[in-house]
Amino acid sequence: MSLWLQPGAQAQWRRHYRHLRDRRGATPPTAVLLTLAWAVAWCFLPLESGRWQSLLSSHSGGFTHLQRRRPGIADPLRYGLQFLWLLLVRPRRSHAARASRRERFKPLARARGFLYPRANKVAQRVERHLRPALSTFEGDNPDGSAATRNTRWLLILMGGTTAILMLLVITQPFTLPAQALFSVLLWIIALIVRRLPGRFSTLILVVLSLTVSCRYLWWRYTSTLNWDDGLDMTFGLLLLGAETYSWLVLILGYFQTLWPLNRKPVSLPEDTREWPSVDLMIPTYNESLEVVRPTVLAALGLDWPKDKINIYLLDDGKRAAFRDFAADVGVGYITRDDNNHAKAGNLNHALTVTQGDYIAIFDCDHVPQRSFLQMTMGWFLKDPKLGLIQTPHHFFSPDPFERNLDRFRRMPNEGTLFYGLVQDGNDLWDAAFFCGSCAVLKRRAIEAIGGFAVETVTEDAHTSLRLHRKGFTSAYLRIPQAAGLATESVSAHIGQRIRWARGMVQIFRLDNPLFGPGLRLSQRLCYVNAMLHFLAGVPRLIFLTAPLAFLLLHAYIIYAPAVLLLAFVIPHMLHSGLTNSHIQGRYRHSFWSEVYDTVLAWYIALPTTVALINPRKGKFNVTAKGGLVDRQYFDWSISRPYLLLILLNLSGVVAAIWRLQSGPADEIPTVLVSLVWVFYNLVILGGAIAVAAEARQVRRNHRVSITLPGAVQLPGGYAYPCTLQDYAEGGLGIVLPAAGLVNVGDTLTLLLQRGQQEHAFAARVVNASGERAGLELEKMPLAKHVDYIQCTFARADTWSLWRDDLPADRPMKSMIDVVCLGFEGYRRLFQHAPRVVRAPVSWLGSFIPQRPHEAS
Amino acid sequence: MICVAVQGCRGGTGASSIVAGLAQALVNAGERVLCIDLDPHNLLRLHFNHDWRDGHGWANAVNNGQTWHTAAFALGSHLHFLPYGHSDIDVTPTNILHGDDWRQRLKELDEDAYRWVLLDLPASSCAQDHFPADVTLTVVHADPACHALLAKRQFQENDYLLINHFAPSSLLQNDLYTLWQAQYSDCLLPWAIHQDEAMFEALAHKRSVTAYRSDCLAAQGIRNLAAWLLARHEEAA
Repeated sequence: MSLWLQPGAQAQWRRHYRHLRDRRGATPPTAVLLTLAWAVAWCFLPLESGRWQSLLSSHSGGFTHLQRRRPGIADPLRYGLQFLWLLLVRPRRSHAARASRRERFKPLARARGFLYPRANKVAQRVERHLRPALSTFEGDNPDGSAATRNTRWLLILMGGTTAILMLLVITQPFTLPAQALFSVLLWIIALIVRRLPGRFSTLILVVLSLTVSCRYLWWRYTSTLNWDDGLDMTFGLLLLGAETYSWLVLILGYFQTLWPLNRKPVSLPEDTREWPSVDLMIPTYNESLEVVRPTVLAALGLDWPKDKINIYLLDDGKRAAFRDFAADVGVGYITRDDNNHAKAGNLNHALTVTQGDYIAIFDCDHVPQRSFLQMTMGWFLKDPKLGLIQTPHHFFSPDPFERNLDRFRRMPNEGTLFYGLVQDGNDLWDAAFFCGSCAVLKRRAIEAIGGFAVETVTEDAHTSLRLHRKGFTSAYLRIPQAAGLATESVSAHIGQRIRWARGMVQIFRLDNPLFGPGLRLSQRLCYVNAMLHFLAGVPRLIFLTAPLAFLLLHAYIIYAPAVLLLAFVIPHMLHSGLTNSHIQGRYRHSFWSEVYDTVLAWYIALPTTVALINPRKGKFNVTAKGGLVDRQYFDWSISRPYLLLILLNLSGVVAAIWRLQSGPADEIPTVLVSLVWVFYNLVILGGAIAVAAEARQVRRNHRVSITLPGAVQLPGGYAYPCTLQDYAEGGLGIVLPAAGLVNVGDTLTLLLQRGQQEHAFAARVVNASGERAGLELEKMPLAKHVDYIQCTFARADTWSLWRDDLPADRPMKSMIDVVCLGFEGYRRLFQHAPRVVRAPVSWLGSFIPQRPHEAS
Repeated sequence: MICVAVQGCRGGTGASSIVAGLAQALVNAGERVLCIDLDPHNLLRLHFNHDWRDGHGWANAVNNGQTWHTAAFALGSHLHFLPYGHSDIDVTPTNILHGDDWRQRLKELDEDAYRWVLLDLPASSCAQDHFPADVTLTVVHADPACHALLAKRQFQENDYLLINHFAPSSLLQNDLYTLWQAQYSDCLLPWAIHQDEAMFEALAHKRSVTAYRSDCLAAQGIRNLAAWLLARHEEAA
């Protein structure tokens, strides 16, 4: 080598080789080849020049990802591809740069600022005029005065005329251009109307959405079925059935959530002697004492006259430790000889041995706030017919969806829609139903219906259905008054939903709310919608496979030109999406529920179908809570059906490509539409797969995140304010004003406020880093423990604050998020895939060029 | 000009420390403050790093026939203070605390010179007249002695009770606090200044607690007091 190389160049070569071998861990042959390649490149490119150096340096970011991986033989190709890529794309901008770009659109924002307030004013004026008519609708004017009677006649007349017009609009066949123009016009109206404040705009949006969706369904029924071909017919009818189901749920959903009641608490009489007596029951079966203890202690701290409240632990597990604990803290302990009918049976047995006028029920892991009874009981005194008052279930730990998708408190969760909006909407129609916990029932009402319903696995909804049939009313108070643990793992979560689904369908069969005595039409509709919701499994599976019927089997499931289909279906989807986002935006983000429903679809499809056929099959399964997911893993068994669906859809993509290449030209639009549908399915399925990758959960005791002022007194007599960051049954995390104030092992006194009271708790520092410190509470006497629970879990204000900081729905952003989630799902699937699959794919992936970040 | 009188319910409640801390807290909030020590113990000056041997103060100035404010000291542009001064002649407390004299004296001041005048009054005795001030803070410990003394006391409109050296781990203190919350609901300030070693260390360092260790719990209590005063007089204005 020294014969034909300058000594300087020789040293360079050697240095490059050593760098590859020692620093980057290349094997000798690779290092030799790469050094040669580098030398060849150097023959043609001045790599030693400043510009090349700065481009290749790790700071510029252009080749960082390549410089990080171990060198491979194919590296020259990778560098070449990345180099070409760099010529084509601009680096990703930093946030600051993007913000300055947004500035440029200022005139647009100013125009908006000019237009919207004026539009709002008009809307407010309209709403003021309509207020009297609307308030009869709301039930503000129950008196039958002449004026209201006249308005009612007017309303009926107007309603009749509108219905006829509506029928005309729905059934009128249009040509393609007419349909397109009609859709565009309605869409423009919707876009303008949605900006207006108040419920009036919601009503208009609902009407627009109903028009478009009914029109779509009418068109589907009248002109898209091919009665001549058996295959087309079968698949077409299946899809049409699924679509009809969605349409029904959509309409019932509008009805249910049109006018949320937002009930406020009613104050109790001044004289506490008039307050009724309450039995607080905590049914438990197999949960650990750690889970039950905070609930019982918080119940002991409820603000209610001590002689008027009795707390009972209903232990179906019949455990000695629970009996001793109950005796220690002075609450009642009830067991029974059998365990018939699970929770409902447990409660029914407890009813026979207790006497209170009212029964408050808490699942053993729902910690009640001190204000629970004072907030709820007022309504019973005001409305003698009231049989039940329900409050939201609120969770201080993330449910598996939130945990695995890292969405805890960044987005409304699954329950938010139900407890934030649906129950409140039900309440208007006097159809709010019992959810098994965090509720108070009147003993007389329960006795009137013969105890809690035991026929189904969802005793709660069935019990309230019977209450309604007997003429009792129900109330829903949308103020979280208790908080509990969410289910642990995806499989447990799905298990819980299967139980709910099966139970609701059982009620649908055994005690169908559409029939039978004692219910008003509105109540029937609300109950039916709640039950229909759980039948979503089969229709969802149909949607996930429908385009394959065409792509794989060549069945014309929608017997119409693709363009006409688009002209009908796109407005239907846009309007229902917009209207739902308008109504539910604060409680549910668009598209995310698609992912949630998809995860559940497969698993509830079978049980609900079975329950629909034979409602008496199936038994109560307890939802496991308070466990621990101790390592990150991928739940293959959960995701198996979705892997199958993904494979099917992928084969659909292959078929589509084949059909584009070799199919008849007039089918191409149909193939393209099906392809888009398949890709949408793939994205949603990717999201469902992402859920199955279980994130790790570190602590046994759930730490509740919070920001709460407190103080500590240190051993030397020094005292400092601190901020409580999180708390759990046995410990807390705090932030002190300065670093180094405490050391591990110190004992200190923690001061926490509860209203005007200040409580001191002895604690030990178990970890300290910087300003943060982790405390472990010393053993405390019962009274202190109750105080602790009151200062933390059972605070009357904590839960109420949480819901406000959730961002509102932005449909486009949601869609992008869900698409990203879909990709994330495939990434996770790949990460957890067996090595044989992973290695070749990741080798191929390493050739993909990457977009660099802009250097700051 | 808002005149705030701070007085211990009995001796040793820490009224001077609170005056010094409050003055500093108000200055930190950008206010102009004058502190006047009306307590013959003449201790307030020590919180402001004043020379122990310097006996100048308003009392000897008055005795020597000088104008009362000649002995005032300036600590920066916003904080001025006037010590009591050592006096060779015994001056009887009733004479010193003659409220009308002070009202007259404060009137002599330029209206815009100070927003706050803080008066450190000697611990109260039952017979004493009500001192003319816009706000009177009575500093108490949550202990039985103060409870007995408070029982004899008449509260007027702008009188407030402030608990100092509060230790929530003490059962007795907690009980008294709860009792007072019910009994003196109109005049008990809704927070207490907690027991904190830094309060005593501050005087050992000849500083106010707010200046000595601004992040400690006692300083936080005093900042609360300052914020409460500012808010109260923001509303009035």
